[in-house]
Amino acid sequence: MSAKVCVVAGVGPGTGAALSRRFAAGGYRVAMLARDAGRLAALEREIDGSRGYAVDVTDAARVKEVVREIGSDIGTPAVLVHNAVSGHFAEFLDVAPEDLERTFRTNVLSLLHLGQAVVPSMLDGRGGAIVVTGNTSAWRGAANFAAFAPSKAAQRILAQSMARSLGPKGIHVAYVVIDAVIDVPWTRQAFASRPDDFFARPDAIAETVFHVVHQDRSAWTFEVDLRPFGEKW
Amino acid sequence: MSDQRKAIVVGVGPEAGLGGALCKRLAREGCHVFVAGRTPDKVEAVVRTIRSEGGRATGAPTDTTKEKDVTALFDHAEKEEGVLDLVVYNAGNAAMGQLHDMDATFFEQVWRVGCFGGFLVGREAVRRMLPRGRGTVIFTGATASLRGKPNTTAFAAAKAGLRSLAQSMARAYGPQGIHVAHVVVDGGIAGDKIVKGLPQFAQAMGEDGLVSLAGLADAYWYLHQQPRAAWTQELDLRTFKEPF
Repeated sequence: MSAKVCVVAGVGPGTGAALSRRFAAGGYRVAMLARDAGRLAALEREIDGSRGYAVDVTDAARVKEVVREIGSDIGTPAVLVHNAVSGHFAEFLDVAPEDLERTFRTNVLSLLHLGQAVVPSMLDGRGGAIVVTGNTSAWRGAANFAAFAPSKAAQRILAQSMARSLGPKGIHVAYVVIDAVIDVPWTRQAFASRPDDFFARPDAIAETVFHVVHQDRSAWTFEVDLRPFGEKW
Repeated sequence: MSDQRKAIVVGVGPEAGLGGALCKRLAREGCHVFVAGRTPDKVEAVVRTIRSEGGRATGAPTDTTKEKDVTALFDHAEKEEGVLDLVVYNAGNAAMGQLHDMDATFFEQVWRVGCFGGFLVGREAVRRMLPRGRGTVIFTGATASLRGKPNTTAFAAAKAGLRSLAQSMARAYGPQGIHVAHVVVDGGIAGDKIVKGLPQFAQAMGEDGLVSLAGLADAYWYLHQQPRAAWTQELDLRTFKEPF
């Protein structure tokens, strides 16, 4: 019962699954949050010590409820990895207000919901860590990114505000900028002609997230960029 | 061929300083460490400690602002068995001063140690690592790498230059297998320079108020160990207390 608990929000076949595997391998009980219950069930069977929770992280009330459930099922979360993401790519004139609102709800508001749900118990002396996975859009906008990049930039600044507020209280908040195309089935299809080295591997990303979570508090990182060695940037 | 891994750390001062701590950590990880610093006594002290712990180290007093010295350092390391795996550029002089009463020689000297030496060491490292298509080069940065303040006029200019150098190198040589990273140490370091040199400041910072040597060494080692499918170029480090 003494295993620490890690919540991974946004578990798809790529980074979320790799994070869940890494933390489980590191001795954590892992609570996996995603909308797709079927996918969670499959991962639950695969990863020892994991448990799936079907939830829409943009729903503040449900998030609160789920964090309570996690607490009574497997224990109070010591780590939250926010990996939920909603993408929308369109030229500026074609962006509907709802598109931007949707990316903001998933990428920014859900971090507020999840953060506010897990932080109070971390403040009870045990400390904790919150890592948010971002990407290049957190740093710069681009054509076709008008409905997406603003949400990632806002997410990064929300994380930084949390870091400055919560760090001195013993909660480590970090932001990971993945400046690359991640190796998942759909990107393999979209970039079919690219070699293996073109892609950032989810297990390599998970390795660095795990490292950051376990940094000594006398030397904490806020922002960490990641790209495969061959990336042009 | 040998499995022996070699590391060069440039900018080693007191044993209880970042350079010294990195040397000792790398030796514990199995590297043959080339300890490069300006002051022979300090270099020797680090070498002695590593050897007494059963590690491998070679002292190499070096003026990192002199091209000849830097080339000689790498030639020296090359002669020993093993492969050059990691080079750290940690030299820097956090000399303070305001522009209006600053000597031109002061500005130039701060830049020579803080930036030009990084160019010499970085260039030599890349030249020797490129044939193997492997290796890590890490530069030590500071808060001043990202912003200038009245008192850091010279230091910040040098550090910003070093950061740019590191980024250019990363973009140029990453695709050729060389991992170039820049570490932003955002705060005072819990080494002799501050703990013994500025005891009042160290005391005012309180427990955990300075970035720990062990924490820094962990981060440098982790950067070196990162799988190349996801490399970090810049890493910031501060204590949890730091009001950054």
